[in-house]
Amino acid sequence: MIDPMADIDGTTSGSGGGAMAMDPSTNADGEHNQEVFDINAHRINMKKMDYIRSFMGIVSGCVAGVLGLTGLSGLVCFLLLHILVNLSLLFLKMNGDLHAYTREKNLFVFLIASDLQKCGMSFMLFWTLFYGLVYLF
Amino acid sequence: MPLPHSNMASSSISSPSDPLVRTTQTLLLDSQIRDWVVLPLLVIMIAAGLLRTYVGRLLRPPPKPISHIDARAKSALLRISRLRGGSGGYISKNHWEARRLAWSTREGSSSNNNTTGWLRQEAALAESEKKALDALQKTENGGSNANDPLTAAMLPGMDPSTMMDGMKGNMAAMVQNMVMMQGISHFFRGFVLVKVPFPLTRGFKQMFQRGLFDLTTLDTSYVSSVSWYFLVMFGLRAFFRLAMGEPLQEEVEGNELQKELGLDYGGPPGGQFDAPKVLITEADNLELMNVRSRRFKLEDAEKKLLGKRYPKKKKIMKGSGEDVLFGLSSGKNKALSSSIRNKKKD
Repeated sequence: MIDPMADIDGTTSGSGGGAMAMDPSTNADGEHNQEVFDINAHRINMKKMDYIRSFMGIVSGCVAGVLGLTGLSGLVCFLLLHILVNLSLLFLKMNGDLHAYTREKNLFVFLIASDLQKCGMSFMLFWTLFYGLVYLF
Repeated sequence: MPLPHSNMASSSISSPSDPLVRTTQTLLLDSQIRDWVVLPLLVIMIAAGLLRTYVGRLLRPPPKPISHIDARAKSALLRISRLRGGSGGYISKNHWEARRLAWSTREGSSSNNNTTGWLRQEAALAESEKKALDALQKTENGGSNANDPLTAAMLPGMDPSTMMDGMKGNMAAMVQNMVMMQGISHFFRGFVLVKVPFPLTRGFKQMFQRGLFDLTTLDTSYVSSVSWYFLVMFGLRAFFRLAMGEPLQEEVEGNELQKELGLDYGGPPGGQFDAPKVLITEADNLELMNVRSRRFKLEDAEKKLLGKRYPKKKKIMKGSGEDVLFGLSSGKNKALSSSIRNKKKD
């Protein structure tokens, strides 16, 4: 797997695109839009994270199905694995610096809410499939 | 009504004495159902998804050619945004100010030897190019001027063909889904396909066991082909995202629609990109910016490099040699300070 986090770090990236349409009258404080931000790097980061999450959604569905979890235990398994994946993303790939890579300030949103629905659907499919294949037929 | 397929007969009920205890019921499904229904359905759905992606890629209209005036103006805007944004802090104060002046001065301004700023030149260029283009079009159209009031009356950005493209994509998806659903519920009717591994309430019974008749006591988690279809349809999106390596067809369509509406550029929706006007506005904005309100990272470079070793109040002795400047005479510091100087010279 390629390192998903390209150089979006505010201190190293040299070519910041900045926001396109920004009112110059608001930058009297200078703080707010002098952040270096490379929109392409951000997009690549998001894409890679999306890949990893989709893949792990599928894999965790298989895991839950093969283990034969049903009902609430499957849901708990899904949530645990999702959080585990996000945590490992955060600490293995982003060095714990969430804001520099994703511009997301809220840790909770990153861990739980992001892409939960997309992952959840594929989790459900593969859970059902493998549960059926292993235990039902 | 009897079940159309006798494969179901192999189901065994663990608690035959009490039919009302639905939760302990375990149906043992025939493995032929797996081989001929469940897995084929999955394959069909994957194939249909791939087909849809590739057909969509074929039918996708070629990207609208962007006029050279607009492209030029946009790249100019990108440069301005770089100067205005955070990366402006990586050049020195003087350079920044010089750029600001060189790009934004008005004609006849006293500060810069009466030369017009680069942006204003660009704007004038764009204006003249646009006029020339219009004139060219008018002469080309010649007799067919009757169309002109019609096209002029149309709102910019409301080009019906682009609107139709997005609609067409959505319509195609909907038609495909409906046809697939009908076909699947027709061909694979009457099977108990799988058991979803989570309990469902009885409210879902009508929806998920469509095509299974008079199985009123069957647990709701046993579902028929239609619900398996839905499960696969939604669940395979992630799979396709992995398999294709690029955004899905519907997402692409959504993005294109957004682009058409001008949302990604931060402009007003439906507004057309008017190069001269935008350039002039940007020049005016740049003219109003003040160099004193900005922070320059270059000025803090020494501090950042040296960290704690940065001398506190030795700045007064500047110019009398680096040993004195840093208050330390170790060889490492010397090397560091000379490297900083080189950097500053750049």
